Amino acid sequence: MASSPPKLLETLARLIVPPACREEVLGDLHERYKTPLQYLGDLFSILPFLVMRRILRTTDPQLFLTDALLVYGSFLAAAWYKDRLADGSSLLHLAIPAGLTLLYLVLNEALVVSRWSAFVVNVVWLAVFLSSGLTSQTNIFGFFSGLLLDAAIRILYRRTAGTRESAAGAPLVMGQSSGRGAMSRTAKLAQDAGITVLVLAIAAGLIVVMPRSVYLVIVLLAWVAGYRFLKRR
Amino acid sequence: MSKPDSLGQFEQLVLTAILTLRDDAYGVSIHAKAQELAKPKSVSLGAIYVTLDRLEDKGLVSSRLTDPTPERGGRAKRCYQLEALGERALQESAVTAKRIWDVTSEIWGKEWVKAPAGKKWGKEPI
Repeated sequence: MASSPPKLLETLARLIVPPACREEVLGDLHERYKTPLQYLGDLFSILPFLVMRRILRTTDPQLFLTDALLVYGSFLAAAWYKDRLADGSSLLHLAIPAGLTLLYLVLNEALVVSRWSAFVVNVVWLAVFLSSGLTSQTNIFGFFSGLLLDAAIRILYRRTAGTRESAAGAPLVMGQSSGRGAMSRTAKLAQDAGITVLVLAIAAGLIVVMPRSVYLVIVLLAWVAGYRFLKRR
Repeated sequence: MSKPDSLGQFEQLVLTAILTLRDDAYGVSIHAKAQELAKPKSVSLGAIYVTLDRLEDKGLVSSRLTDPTPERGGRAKRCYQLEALGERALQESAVTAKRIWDVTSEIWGKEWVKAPAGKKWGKEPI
């Protein structure tokens, strides 16, 4: 009689394997099952590859670079507002929380398709952020501004047919917002750059003219609204 | 028809496995065949998944989900098949490999054998 993996192991695998490839991967693991230890070994040896596979499929290089610029810009603006740019080394220090935020955005796009997976990614990210000793006011401002700008960029670029997929399977391609089909590559790049600068300028302007608490509330509300809008699309 | 990209060694291995397995090319069977072709090196299942994705993105292979089967716990297989572009790319790689084989065997002789596990590939000692 062919043996099958214990239900507990299969449940664990179902929870951690990205949904987009869950069906075939769980079937393959089931077929290869010999002992619980071998099953776990298989699962954890393929997991990094599966996550990388999803990231490669869901990350558009142009969108990633724009996000990197926006997120770093957010932390820079927050540090400048808090008057923490006294020396050049602060610029480098800002790259650490900015990098973590970027990693969060990439993982969020690659792995999140349900409330449960969103919860897991958010908890893991928060744990990393809190345990890293980076929880200063500057970083909290920078993080939420980064998320807001990322949401704004994603709203400006609609999902269209292409090779890159979102975690849920719908393709997400940068540089193809509505009505731009006939534009040249240079014109599209110029438009992308223009939108990026505009969004950054608006965010910087808001930081300068508003009290911090009001700004933080607006950023949070706008981010939640943007997130919900994107989820509905 | 567009010109296929040149293939890496691992991609050649995976495409050859798909070619050999025909209608039964899915994760586990491709991994087993690739392992057989790559001996004495070992091949990880995760690397097979990533490579299959890359080949699919390049348009060299296509995939489809089959009906669920009881031996897989009621789950479907993702079966892969070579596309015309993939066949051409593999043919080009095979022609290049044949050319290399012809030249090296002329110089080193044709008696090439596999070295014992854990050692490098090499010529059989006289």
